[in-house]
Amino acid sequence: MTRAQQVRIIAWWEFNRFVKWRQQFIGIAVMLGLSAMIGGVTKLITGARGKQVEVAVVGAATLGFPLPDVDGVTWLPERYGDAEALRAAVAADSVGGGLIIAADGGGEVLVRRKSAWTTRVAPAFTQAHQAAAFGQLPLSAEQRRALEAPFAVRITALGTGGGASAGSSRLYANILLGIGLVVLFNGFASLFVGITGEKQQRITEQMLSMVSPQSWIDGKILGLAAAAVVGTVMMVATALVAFLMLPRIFGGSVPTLPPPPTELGLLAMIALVTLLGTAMWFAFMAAIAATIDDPNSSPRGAMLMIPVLPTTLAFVLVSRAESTVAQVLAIFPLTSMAVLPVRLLSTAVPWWEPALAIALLAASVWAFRRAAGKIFAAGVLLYGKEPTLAETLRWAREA
Amino acid sequence: MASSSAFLDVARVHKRFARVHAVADISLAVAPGEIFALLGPNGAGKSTLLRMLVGITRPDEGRIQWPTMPGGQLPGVQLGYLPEDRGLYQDMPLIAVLTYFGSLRGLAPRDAQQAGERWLDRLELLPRAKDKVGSLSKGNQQKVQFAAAVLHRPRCAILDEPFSGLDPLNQELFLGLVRDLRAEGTTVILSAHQMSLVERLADRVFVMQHGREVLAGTMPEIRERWGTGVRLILTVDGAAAGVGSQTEALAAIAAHPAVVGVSRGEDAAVVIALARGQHVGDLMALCASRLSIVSVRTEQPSLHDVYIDVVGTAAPATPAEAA
Repeated sequence: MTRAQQVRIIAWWEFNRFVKWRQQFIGIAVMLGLSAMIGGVTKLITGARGKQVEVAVVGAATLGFPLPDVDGVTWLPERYGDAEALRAAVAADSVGGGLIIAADGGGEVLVRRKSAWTTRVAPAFTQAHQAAAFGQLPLSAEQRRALEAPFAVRITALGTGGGASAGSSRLYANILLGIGLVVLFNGFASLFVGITGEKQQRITEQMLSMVSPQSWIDGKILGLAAAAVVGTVMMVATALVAFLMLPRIFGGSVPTLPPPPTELGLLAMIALVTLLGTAMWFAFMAAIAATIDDPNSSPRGAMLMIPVLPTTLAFVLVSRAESTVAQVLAIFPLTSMAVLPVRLLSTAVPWWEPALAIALLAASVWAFRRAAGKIFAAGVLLYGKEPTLAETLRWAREA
Repeated sequence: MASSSAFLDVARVHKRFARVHAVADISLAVAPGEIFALLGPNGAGKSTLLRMLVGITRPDEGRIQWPTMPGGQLPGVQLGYLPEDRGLYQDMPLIAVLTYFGSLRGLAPRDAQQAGERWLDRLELLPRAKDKVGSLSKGNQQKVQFAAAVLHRPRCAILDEPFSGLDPLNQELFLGLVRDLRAEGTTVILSAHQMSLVERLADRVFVMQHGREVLAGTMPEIRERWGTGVRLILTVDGAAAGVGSQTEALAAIAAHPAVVGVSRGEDAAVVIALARGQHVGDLMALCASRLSIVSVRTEQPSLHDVYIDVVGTAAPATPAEAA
C-alpha cells in the first residue's frame, strides 16, 4: 500500500467522521426554519408598526405645503378649532396626539406619553419644507434637472495589472474574507477534536503501527479541511437561500447583489491562494493540536486564534488596498491568503506579486506540514504531559 | 535459537528515556509460527520493546530485523498490533472502524468489511455491527480492538497485554483466538501478567526485569534451568503426631540432601521441593517414618513459581534504571 493511498483513506475517514450529512441537512432545515420564523416575526412587527396613530393638527393651512407622510401617523387636520381645545383633547386621551403649527413656522407636538412616532415628525416636515421652498424658486425645468442630477463618476482601469476596480469589488472582497474566516473556524474546531481527541482516546498508537506520522497528519489535514469547506459551502448556500427566498415568501423586495468579477484568471488565482492558505493554516493548527494533551485545560487552545489576526487585518485593509503595507502583507505567507484577494479585487497588482505570494505560500504549506508531522511523531507518546515550547521548536527545526 | 532461522531477530537493543534505561541490551529471536510471550513486572520494559518491534519508536542501539522479509523489514500490512493503551473511535459504528483499520492494513474496502463482519460474527457482535463503539461494554470493546488488530491476517501479531481487564470466560475466549492465529500461520508475540494463561499458551517465554533479560526458553527449559525441580506434596494426619514432633520431622526432612526446601501447605499438606537429579528412595523412607502420611503426589513448578522465584530474587535496579 502506497503512502498516497493511506493518506487518501485517512482523509476520507476524517471527512466522513466530521461531515455527517443527516445532521448537516437537519441543521440547514433548522436554520431555514429559524430564518422563516424571524421573517414572520419581523413582518408581524412591521404590521404592528403600521397601526396608525391619529394626530390632530391645528394651523395646517399656514404651512404652505401639504402635511407630509410620517410613518405610523394619520393626520387629522382642523378637527379641533384651536390649540387649547387640542391640548384638552390630548390630555383627555381623546386623540393619539396633536400638532400645533405656529404662524411664523415651526410647530409643537403634543402627546400624553412619549411615543416613537414623534421623532419622525421633524425630519419629514423639514424635507417637505425644503421641497416646497425649492419648488418656489424661479428656475426653469432645465435648471431644476441640472440641480437634481447626481455627479456621475465612471471608473476605468487602464493599468495592465489585472486589478478589477468594479464597484462590487469591495463587497466581494469582504464576502470572500468572511467565508475564509468561517472555513478556518469550522475546520479548527474539528481539527482540534480530530487530533487531541484521538490522542485522548489512545487511538494514535494503533494508527502509528499502520501508517507513518506524516501520512496520518497529511490525511487529517486534507480530510478535515475538506470537511470544513463542505460545511462552509452548505452554510453559505443556506444563507443564500434564506437571503433570496424569504423576501418572496413574506412579500418583501428580493435583495440583489451586484455582478461578481468575471475574469477567470483572477478567480482562479484567488481560488488557488485560498486553497493554499487554508492548507497552510490547517497544517499550522495541526502542529499546535499535536502538542496538546488535554484540550480542556491546555492554554495552547488560545493559539487557535492566531489565524484570525491576518484576516482581521485584511478587513481593515479593504479600504487601503493600494498601500505599501497591503502589498507587503499580500506577499507574506502568513497574511497573503487574506490580503492578496483583497488587493486583486480592489486594485491593480503587478504580475510578480501573486506569483511570489503563491510560491511562498506553497513553500509554507510544505514546511508547516513537515513540522506538524515531526512534532506529532515526537510528541505522540507523551501521554499526560505536553512538550515544552523549546522541545516543540526543536522538533519543528528537525523537520 | 539460531538467528538464521528466526522470523524476528533482536540483537543487543537499548532504549533510554531521559534517565530511564527502559530496555537494556536485549537480544532474542522468534521462530516463525510460534507464540512468544514477554513477561515481567510493571515497568520491566516489555511495552517499550514491543513498540520498537512495531516501529513506533526506534532503538537507541542494537538491531531489530525480520530476516525472512525483504530488506529485513516487516511491512506494516503484515503486522497486527494490539497496543497496551486501548482505544477506538467511540463515535463510529463497529463495522466502520474495522473496515477502516482493515483498509489501512492493505485490504480492499469490500474485503475489509467482509473480514470485519466475519470477526464480529466470531465474537458474537455481528448484530451490533452498526452500533457505535462507545455503546459497547469495556470487554466487548476489547474484543473489537483485538479484531481490528488481526482481521487482515497478519504474518505477525504483536499483542500487548491482550488478557488484561478480561473476565475468566473472555480470557478463555482470547486464549482460543490467539491459538487460532497460530494455527493460521501467524507468529504471535505477546506480553502478559497472567502466568497460568501464558503457561498454557506460549511456546517460549522471555522474562524481563528493569529492562534486562532474566530468563528465557520453553517451559521445560525454564523448569530445567531455573525451576527448583519437582515438588513432593504429602498430606499428613496432624492428629497422629504432636506439633512439636512434626516440626522436628520437617527439620529432619529439610536436612536431607535431596531436599531444597520444606514448607507447610494448605489442608495439612507438607510441600517438599526436591533437588534435581537426586534419588528420593531414602527420603520417602524418612518421611514415612516421621510423618503419618495420608496421600502423596508430585507437582511440576508452575511458571508463576519460577517467575516469583526469579523476578523476586533478581538484582534491584540501578539508580538510573529505577528513576
